This record gives sequence, structure tokens and C-alpha cells, in this order.
Amino acid sequence: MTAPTRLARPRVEVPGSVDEAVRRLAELGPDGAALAGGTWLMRSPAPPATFVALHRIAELRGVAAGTWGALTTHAELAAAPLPPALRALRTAARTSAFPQVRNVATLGGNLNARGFAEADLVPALLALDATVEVATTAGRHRIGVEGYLRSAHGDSADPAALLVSAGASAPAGRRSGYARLTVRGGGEYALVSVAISADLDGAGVASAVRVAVGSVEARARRCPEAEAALAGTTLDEAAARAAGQAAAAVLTPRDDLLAPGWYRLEVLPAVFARAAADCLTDPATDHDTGEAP
Amino acid sequence: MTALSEPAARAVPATGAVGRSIPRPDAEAKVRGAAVYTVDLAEAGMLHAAVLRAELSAARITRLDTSAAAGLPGVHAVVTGADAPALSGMLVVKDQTVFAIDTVRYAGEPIAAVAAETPEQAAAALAAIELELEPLDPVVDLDAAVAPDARLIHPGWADYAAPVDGFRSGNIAWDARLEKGTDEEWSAAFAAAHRVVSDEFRVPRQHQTPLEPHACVARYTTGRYTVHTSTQFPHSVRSRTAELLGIRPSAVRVLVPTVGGGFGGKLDAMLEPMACLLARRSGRPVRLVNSRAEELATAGPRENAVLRLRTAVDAEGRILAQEADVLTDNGANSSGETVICAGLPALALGSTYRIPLARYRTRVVYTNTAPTAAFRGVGGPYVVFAQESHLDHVARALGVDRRELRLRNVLRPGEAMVNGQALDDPILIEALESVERRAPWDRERPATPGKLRGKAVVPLTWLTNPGPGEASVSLSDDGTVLVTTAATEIGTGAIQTGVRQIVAERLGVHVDDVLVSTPDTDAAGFDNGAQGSRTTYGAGNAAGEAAGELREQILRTAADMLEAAETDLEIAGDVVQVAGSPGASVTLAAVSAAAMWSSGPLSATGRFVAQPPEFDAGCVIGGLFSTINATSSHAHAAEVEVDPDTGEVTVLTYVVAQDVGRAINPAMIVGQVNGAVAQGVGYALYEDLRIGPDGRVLDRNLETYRIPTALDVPPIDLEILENPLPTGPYGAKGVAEPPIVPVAAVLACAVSDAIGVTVTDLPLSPFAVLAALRANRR
Amino acid sequence: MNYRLTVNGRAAEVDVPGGTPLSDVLRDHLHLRGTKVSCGTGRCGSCTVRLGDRAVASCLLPVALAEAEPVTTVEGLSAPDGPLHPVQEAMVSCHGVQCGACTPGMVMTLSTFLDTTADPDAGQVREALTGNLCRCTGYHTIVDAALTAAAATRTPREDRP
Repeated sequence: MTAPTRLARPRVEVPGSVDEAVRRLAELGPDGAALAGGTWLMRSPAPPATFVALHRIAELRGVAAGTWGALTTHAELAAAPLPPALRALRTAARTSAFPQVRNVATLGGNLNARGFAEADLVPALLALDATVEVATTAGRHRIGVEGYLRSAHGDSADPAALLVSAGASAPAGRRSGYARLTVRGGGEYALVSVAISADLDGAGVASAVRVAVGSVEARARRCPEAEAALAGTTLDEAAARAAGQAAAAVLTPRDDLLAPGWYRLEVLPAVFARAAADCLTDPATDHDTGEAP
Repeated sequence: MTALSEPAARAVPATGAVGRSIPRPDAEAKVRGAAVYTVDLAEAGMLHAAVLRAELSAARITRLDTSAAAGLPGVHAVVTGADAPALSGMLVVKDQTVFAIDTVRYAGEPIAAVAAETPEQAAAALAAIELELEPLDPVVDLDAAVAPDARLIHPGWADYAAPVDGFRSGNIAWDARLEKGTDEEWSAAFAAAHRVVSDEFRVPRQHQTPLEPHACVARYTTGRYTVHTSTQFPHSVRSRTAELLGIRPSAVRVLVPTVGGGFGGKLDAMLEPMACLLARRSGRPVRLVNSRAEELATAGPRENAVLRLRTAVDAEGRILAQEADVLTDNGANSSGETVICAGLPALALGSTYRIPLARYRTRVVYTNTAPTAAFRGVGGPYVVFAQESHLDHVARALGVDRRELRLRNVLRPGEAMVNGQALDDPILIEALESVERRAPWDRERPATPGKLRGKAVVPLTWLTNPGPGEASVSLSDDGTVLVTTAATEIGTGAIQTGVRQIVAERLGVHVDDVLVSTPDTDAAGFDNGAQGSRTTYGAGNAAGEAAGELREQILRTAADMLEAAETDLEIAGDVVQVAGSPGASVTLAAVSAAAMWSSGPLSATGRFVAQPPEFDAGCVIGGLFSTINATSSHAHAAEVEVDPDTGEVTVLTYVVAQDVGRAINPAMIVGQVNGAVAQGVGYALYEDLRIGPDGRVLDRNLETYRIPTALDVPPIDLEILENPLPTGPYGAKGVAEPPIVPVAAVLACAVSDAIGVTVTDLPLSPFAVLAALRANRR
Repeated sequence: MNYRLTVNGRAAEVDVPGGTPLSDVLRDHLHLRGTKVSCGTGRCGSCTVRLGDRAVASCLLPVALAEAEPVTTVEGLSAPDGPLHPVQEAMVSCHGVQCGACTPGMVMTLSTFLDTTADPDAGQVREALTGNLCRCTGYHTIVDAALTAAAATRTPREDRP
């Protein structure tokens, strides 16, 4: 239990290309894992024997319009000039963890951290309807992030599937926002996290609403009941709270040391209201420096 | 009484060391990363130790075989309970062994320890130890533990030695009472009462969480052990290690490198006996350091407790009589200070307010959980939380203003505390007025829309540890002054600034010319440890006395050199001069040289122990603390906002008035108040070292055990009050403990005010606050 | 496996598994024990070092990822016998140091933060410090030190009062 668990440290391979990384991951199977920033894997009580480090693969880096390489860090996302449509991703990145982790932890690592219910970028990317490019031994393909997460975290996950990048579109009129709740002012896992994306018409009425809730269940997920509650509203506080209640009615919360399950449900309306407010933050008056509030 | 409203900006006197906010001289090494802590020590040939700890909280050991482990590569020693059968305990009940022998009494209890060439080999050796446990039903709940049919955690309790007589039985490790008033008076008070109010409070464990964990490096050479360790109390480590190893204390030499925090958690031997056994068996230096998970699971935290209060009051809210039944958790043995502090709850209940009649009982209870220990303020924070929340309940029941209720009951000069002891010149009213000036009680400030606003004010009497200490002061060949003491700098600045400033002031030398040795129990006499705010006070008094005697020696030698009368001489910086004619002077270096071959080297030893005050001995039954020493007066006030949607508590203002006696170094006092309030905020709002129903500590890392971050500590508006204590060095009283004691109380009362519900449990996590709000709504 | 690092401007080579935390390499192999390891899970910040221009938790950083950029530890922030870095100087003068176990991490976080935020307000400093736990000071004097260091850095040394 409390004996110092100083296990043998994994060896690290450093492939120079996506193809090489996929090949090695395929060969290693359960004895290998892709290593991005390491902030999750380095805390694993039972790491695999070999890490396949991705940091020398240039293709995995970089932020282009609407596309982010798998090695993009949370700090880079927080500082990126994302349009209002993608604000949820930026807010999620800049309010996650704290500088030492944001500076290292990557988008790819966040999406692939197994057992990490509180991964902040996941609900944001779900709400943004992001797609990801995946490399496997059979070649490359692009799929929706929801489907990717289902396979990557499933029991029959392909150990050689390597996330290359993620992307999302940002049509004019789309807004998104994110909010997370913590016990202290920050620097800890979210007890509840909510991401909202909606297309607003000239009158501010929402359509194409997508909502994802993180931390409450074992994995973040879309919440159609909340989406229905927000569709056709102006994303005002009352509508957001009602959507939070709709979410609370269908989610099955986790009880753990970070928070009791009932609490995660009770606060959903308030966190929904904060996420909706983040959606409506006027980019012109948003003097945010990129640091969390 | 004088107020230092702007301590940092206070004019620095041209001469004199006391009262100046000098920066600490050890800070430069710390900011450079050059300070050497115990965790940084390495010796040639040093082995790495690891401890096999029990997975279960209650079990019989049916098999323990270390032979396979001992034969593994790199393993030099394996030790178990068979190697250390002696019983020990922190000052009182001797109920602890180094390792579990036959019976496991808490999860995390050491079963065996190994020393190997590398940490990996040590971990492999632990895994190779063959251990079989037969589970027993753990006794975890305090009320269940004292029930008549409870399984006894120490069936042989009656055979344990206890050098102090007291009341113990079964799972009650200690039973302390304070009873004031006859049965007739008691009955009459309750009969005459306008109201009788009852409450029950529950508080969790709080972990000290120093950033440097417990750590030590031990060596064994020809019958003696040399231990470098991260401790607040080297002589405690010396005597407890010796008792646990069955050897005499002088066979253990304890040295203390830079200490990375203590807060009460490093007063006792913990890893040292195991490292010593391994060092002896292996013939090599042995390093043993707790992981953070081991710290949380096994390094004794502030005890959890249940407090039941019942108070009879008159129509104006004056307390007529008060009953308290307190259960505090000793954990599985008495290796911490929980037993010795059994008398403290009664004194904390009855040292701030007038309690005419009292029936106070504190039972320290054995459970199958990790032993508890001291944490800054010991029982104070939860006793004051309970008392103040209870008094708010009284005020609400009577419709009396909460501040007014306190003014009606607070002790005034000339009045006695519940134990019959007179307070040392109390200034509780002045302290309340100080916070009133800065945060007027009747100031109505509208809440943020959607939020609930609450406020509270709490007065407090607190103490200074009276314990003994010795210090030597000598004049070096270059005219500098060396203080040799086992008193330990744990980060507060008490040694690095406080003791040095006192010595410099007494001698008249530059504070930069006063050096202090690092603690070494072979080089310095006894010191009672960095506890109970005593270092500047106790070690400062001892060093100050020695400095006074050294001053006389210096002047005597200089008088011969200058052919002047001693009474005409003064020490000014690095010279001794004839007062009024600075031309006639000799350097301290010259004085040192002159003395060397005439009188011999100049040095003196000072000593101090506080004299026990008079009190009503008839009222204290079984208390190990019957009085409280060198009292000081305080008031804290706070304003909070609660988010009714989430239960989040935001502390808007936090105001402190603290009686320090005399501010030796105002900046260090500010640092102690800031840090103590931060720890109090953690205790009030976040910190909860959780124990599962099976007795295991559930919080294993700093993700779930939440200590405040830089975003969580409110601005602190401090007024330092100087109300000199005649027996303190230059009037100084203990400073470090008092500011944590009322924090949970004032925040709980403010939250209760905001949400309209008496809070009965700590911490006031958003979960607890929201649950209270929801329960109230229904 | 051999890893070639640049630490505090010096080349260093260690033979360890690539998954070894940088903090262990610094402390146990390169004898740079100013970097503390207080929690080992990346939460307390006392192991903070600079990798290139980023503050990172060295207990979570596999040494294999530290080859590409120079590493700066607290020992490299100023010459051992030279003047203190402005952050170090302000931590001393503002009484931002008590037990000192968090101090190296605090100093590394703040010096990195001030490189990109020359004129921060107290709120930004607190946010920058969220990953660094201190149990002694209550943080206020550390925030003071950061603001003092920022002001000193903006003002050339000869222009200071």
C-alpha cells in the first residue's frame, strides 16, 4: 500500500516519423505506449516497459487554422488566436491544471489518457464536433472525435493507432464556451466541466447546439437532452440552467475522493450558466491575457 | 499596550537589534538552492531503506519470513519486530513498538524494513518478504471504540508503563477532566437558566504536509548512533529512539540539517529507529525518506474529534455553566502528542470566556487508525471552532447580537480562567476593538448579486509552550558571537532572526555578527523543541540570559584592558568603549584574545523554564496540562460570501489583531500570521484527511488532499499589538501558533451567518455547504 | 541508454532509462539538489525547472524529453558566487522564504513567468503560482517578491533608488 513504489523506469524509443512510431507501437503491443508530454503516463503506477516518444516527429507539432497537431500543448492552445467559435477549446486549455503542466501536457495526451475522466480538452473537442486524423498500420483516416474516443478507450483499442492531429470548423456565427468547477481557486481537476457550442442567428437564437459534460461520468460525453433544452434559446442564464437540469436528469455521476456524485449533479445548472456566459463573451471586450481568471 | 500598525514600514532604530524586520540570513542559501536538507544528504556507502507497511488496519500476523528478501542482490539488512521489542510512547503511555509484533493496529504500521544498495533493490526486497495476516474487525469510529463491547485495541493496556498517573481503561488511552463547581451549584445553574443549548461537532484529521517529508540518515559506530534528521525537536528524537531501541539516550546523537517545515508533525521519532536498526545490522549509513503517500498515511496528523457541548445561559446570553464531552482520536498508539494534550480542550474552552461552572471531559481514544500527533495549535482550532459555533447558536437562540454576546462573556483583566489561573494581563477587549476599527461590525456591505454574505468575529486567549531550554553563547577569536543550542530553526525564523536579534540586543553587537550553530545533541544541552510558539520565547530567554552573562565577562576583561570601570563601558558593534568617550575602545576580537590566556575563553550558558502559575488544583482531574503559560490575546474577524448554487466559499476580508508581547522581528511575525491563517483556511474549507470505514487513510496524494494554493488565501489585515510579557525576552510571547487557532471558528461562524444554518462539521467544503443549504431549504 | 543534456550551460551525459524523471537525474546523477521533490506527482511544484523557455515539473518529465532544449535549475539561475537573480533577491528582501523547501520551485516558476509577463498584476502572479504549493508563507510575501522583482527588472539597476 504505502511502500515506496519505485519501479523500474521504462526505456524510451524515439522514432523520427509517424510511420515508424506506428510500427513500433504495433510491435510492442501492450508493452508499449506513445509518450507525448508525459504528465499522465509518468504518474502511472504500472507503466509499460517501453515508451515510444513522439517529440522528434515534426508532423505532430504545430497549430494551423482549425487544426492542431497532437503534440500541441495546453499552453499553446491557450495562447493561440482561436476564433469565438473555438473559444471552448481555448478556455479549457487555459483553465486546466497549472503552468508547469499546461506547458508540457498535449492535446494528444489529453485525448488518450486512460481513466482520466477530468481531461479538460475532451468535452471541448466533443462540443466542437472535432475530427481527428489517426495513423494506423493500415494507413491514415479521419474520424469524429466521439468515435475516436470510443475506440481509443475501449477494451479492444488498437495499440498502434496514433493520433496525428485534431481539427474543428469555425463558421461565422458559431460560439462556444467552457466552464469548470473546482474546490479551490484552481490548480486541480475539474469536479464538473461543461462545453457548449451553438450557432447563433442575428437575434442570438441558438441552433446546432452541442453540449458535452466532463468529469461527472467516467468519460466525458455529449448530452443530447441538454442540447435540446438549449436549442432555440438565446443561451441566457435561465436556459443554461434548464439545460444543466436536463443534463443532471440523465447523467450517472461518479463518487470519488474529489467529489461526491450528488454534488456533481447539483452544480450542473450553475456550471452550465458559466459555460453559456463564456460562449457569449464578446471577443472585442475580452482582454484576457491567456491566463486563467 | 501599543499597536504596530505598519510593521514592515516601521522606522528602523539606528541601534539595537530588537524590533527590526531584518531579512533572514538563511534566505540566500535557500533561494540559490544551496541549503542542504536531510533529503539532500548523501554519504559514501549509503544504503537506501524501505519499509514494509501493513495493508490492513487490524490483523494478527500469522507468518513473517524475511529470509528470501535478505538473500536478494544488493540487500544488506532486513529488520523486524524481533529486533526491537521495547515499548515507548510520547512522554506518557508506553504502548508503541518500532514494528508491529504479532498484531497489526493500523494500516501503514511498519512490519519490517530493508536496506539495499539501490532504492529498486530495496523495493524488490520488500516484495519478497513473506507476510500473512489474519484480519480482525477494525475499530474506527470514536463512539464505537468507547462502547462497552468494543474490541480492545490493546488488550494489555493495563500493563503499559505510564510515568504519570492518570485515568485509562480499555480503548480510552487517557481521560482528562476539569470540574468546577459543586453538584448543587451545577443543578441550580441549569434550573435558573434562561436557555440550555446543545450542539455536537465533528472535525476531521488535518495533515501538516511539510514540503520536506520525514527523512533521516543514520550511522552506527562502536555502540553509538549518529542520526541526521528532519526534526523540530532533536532531544525528543534522541530519547524516543533510545527508548524504542532499548539503549540509553546518550547513545544517540541527533543532528539537524535545514528543515523543510514541521508544523508539529516532526516532534517525535518516526523513521529514525528503523534507520538506526538497519545501520547497525548493515554497518553502513542508511537513508530512509517517506514518500508523500507514506506521509499522508502514517505521519501523525491533527486528530479527528467529536465534541458535544451543552451550555446554560441567562437571558442576556451570559454563560452560567458549560458541559463538554470531547472524544479525540489517538489512533493506534500514543506515539504522538495527543495524550499529553488531553487536558488542552478544557483549557481552550475556558480561557477566553468566563465559565463560572464547568464539567469538561476529554477522552483520548484508541482506534485502528494511524496515530495522531501535534499540529500547530494542537486541540485549539477544533475546540474554538466548536465553542464559537456553539456561542453563535446561543446568540441566535436568544436574539442577542453575536459580537455583543462575546463582549458580555469575554474575560476581563483580573478575572480567572476556568482552571482558576489568572490571565497574564489580558487585552481581549483591545484586540476586539482593533479588528472593529478596521472591520466595523455594523458596516453593511451589500452582497454580490446572487451570493450570500456572512461575517463573524472571534476573540482568543492562547498560550506559549513553557518548556525548558539551554543555550550557550561564546565570544569567538574574531569578535563574533556564537550561540550553541539544540533549539531548531524549522522555517519560522525564530532562530535565524529571533534568537540572534535577542542576543545581539543584549550584547550590543551587530546582529550579523551573531552566528547560531546547527542543532547537535552532542554539542548542546536540552531544548524542548520548536513547538507551541516557544523558540523565540524559551530559547530566546536562555540565549538572552547567556548573552547577559557573556556581556559581563567581556566588560570585565575590557575594563582591565582599558583601565576603566566596568560600569563605564558599553559594547557598541564590534568594540567595547568607554561610554561618552568613543576614542577609548578595544575591539571584541582583542577582548577575546586578551581573555584567552588570562581568564580563558569567554562563554556563558543560560537556561530557562517557565514557572508554573498558580491555579485551582482541585478542579483538574487527570489533565497533563493543568495551566497555560504566557498567555496572549487575539481577535480575528472575517467576511465571507457563499455561492448558493455551488457551496463555494470566498473569504472577502480577514482581519487579525495579535498580541505578540514584543515584536522582535515584525516581518517574521507577519510571515507567521500569513502562514497560520493560510493553514487555518485550509482546515476550515478544504483539508480533510479521510479515513475509510476499514481504517485506511484514503487520501494518498496532493490531488485529493487539498492544501491552499496562491489563489485561496485572502488578504490578511494584521495589527500587531505589543503587550509585553514580563518573563518573555524583551517582553516577547509566542507568536506562531495563535493565528491558526481561531481561523476555522471565524470562517465557520461567518458561513453559518451567510447560510442561516449552524455548521457542525469541518471542513466547510462546497459539498458540505451545499448540503447544508439544501437541507435547510427542505 | 545515454542521454546528453545541457544543464545550466554545461553538457552532461547520463546513462539511465529514458523514462527516468528529470528530477532524479538532476538530484542523483548531476548532484543538483536544489531542485526538490516533495510530492513526486507533479502537484507541488517544488521540482520546477526551466526547459528552454518553459517552466516544467521535472518529476513528471522523462529525461528522454529533456535532450532537445537546455535545462536550467535553481543553481543555474545566477552564478554560485555572483549576484542573485532579481527574483531571488526579492524573495530574500520581501521575506518570501521560510522553510525554503518550495523556494527553488517558486524561484524557477516566477523567473520564467516574468520573462514573458514583464508587468504583471497580483492576480496574474497568483495564477502563475497555482502549481507551486507553499505550506509556510500563505503566499502573500511571495507575490510581493514577484511584483518587486518585476519592477526591479523593468527599472535598470542604475536607475533604482
